[in-house]
Amino acid sequence: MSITTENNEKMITLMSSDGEEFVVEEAVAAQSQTIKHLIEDGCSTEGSIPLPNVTGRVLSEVIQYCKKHSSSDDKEEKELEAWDAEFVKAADDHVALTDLMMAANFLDIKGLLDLVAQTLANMITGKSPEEVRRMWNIKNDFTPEEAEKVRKENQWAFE
Amino acid sequence: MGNPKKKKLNRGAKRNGEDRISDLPDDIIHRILSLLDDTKFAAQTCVLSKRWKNVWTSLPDLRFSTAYYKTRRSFRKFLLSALLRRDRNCEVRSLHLSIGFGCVCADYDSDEETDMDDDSDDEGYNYADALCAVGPQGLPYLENSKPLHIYSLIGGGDMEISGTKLVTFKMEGVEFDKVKLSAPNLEDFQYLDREDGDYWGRLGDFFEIDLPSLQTAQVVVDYQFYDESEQVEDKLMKLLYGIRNAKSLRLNVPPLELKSNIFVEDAEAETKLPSKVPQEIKTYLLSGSPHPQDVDVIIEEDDSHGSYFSLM
Repeated sequence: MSITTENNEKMITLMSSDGEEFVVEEAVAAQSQTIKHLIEDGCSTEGSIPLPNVTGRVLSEVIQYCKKHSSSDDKEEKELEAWDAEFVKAADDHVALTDLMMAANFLDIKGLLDLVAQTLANMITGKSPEEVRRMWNIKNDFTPEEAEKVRKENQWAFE
Repeated sequence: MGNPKKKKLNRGAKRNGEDRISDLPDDIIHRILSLLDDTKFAAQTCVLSKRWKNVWTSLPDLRFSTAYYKTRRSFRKFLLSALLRRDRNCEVRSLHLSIGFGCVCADYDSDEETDMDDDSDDEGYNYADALCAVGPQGLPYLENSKPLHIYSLIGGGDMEISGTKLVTFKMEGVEFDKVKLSAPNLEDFQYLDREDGDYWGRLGDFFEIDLPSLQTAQVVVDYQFYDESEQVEDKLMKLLYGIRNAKSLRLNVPPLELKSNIFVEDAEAETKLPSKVPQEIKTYLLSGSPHPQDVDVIIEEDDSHGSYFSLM
């Protein structure tokens, strides 16, 4: 259902995969290209827009991001940067960041996608493979022989 | 080891005990890897696990910077190995090369390598070689590439680029003695060289330029530090002639005495651009263009020189 607020802003209802509903201004929701296209196709007029790939917890974070970014203009770039830094810091660990990344990808929100990708890239910068495995819980499933072989074949990347 | 019990325990105990990154689709992992400072660091992920062994090989955005290599040789070795090992079916979407300028050389093999900051004569040729090795001329990879951005490539030498599928090409802070550029489908060309920019290069001799499909071009040249022997006006005129097909041209060049007259046979012998009426300049600059009526020329204002002119 589309509701209109007193300042004539159209409201959109989004529904997460676990059934949680979020009522947001259309301009905020349209930060997501995916939602924007759904709105353009008239999907918002009949009840809420279902987002089967995004849980309520992640969606509320995404909406937080979209709200901030739809209300700020270019002048506030510095402030926005600081806000972004706090935002990804609050996401806390790589699992939360991965969830955000998948949501940003599905919802097609370029700014958020770039922000999270940069955060994850920063996490591994300067780390050894062993450190990266430990940080991201990547299980080394090479046998010792395979590991030796891969390492040898790719020695040029470690020089 | 594959112990399901342990895995279960981890998942229940702590969310971040899971490996979720490895479950991401390749294109999202590529997004992360392409933000690393150098493709070298992306390639290093191959040892993490079987999942990661080949992820980097389809990375579409490549980035190489000498700053992350101890020696020129290890840089070149990496460049070539990476290009040979990457999956050739995957299009190169962008290629960033940052070579020579401002690189940090922590250590080097003193017996056969020279410091990369050293301005030894052969250096330029080495880097030009390295570039050609990755460029359209050397290897076919860039045939599919859309934007090509070469920046901070100094040291001189000759460069030849011939890419049939090249659509946008940007040169920023580069230094070559001679440049040959043939790109039948190139639509956007940028040559950026300014002292206050990120990278500062030196205008070379664009001796053979063939860009029949060019739509937009931008040229920024800041040559207050060139001396007369470098004949920078001639070089600039050659470059402008090379991009004469452009329908939109942005120029930011300092006051210029045009001595060599490439465009118009019967123009006045010397034309001092800034002091002339804009329309004449426009006519002069565009008399070599096949469609002079339709061309927009924007000559940017630049405070540092004061005597710029602008026209549309």
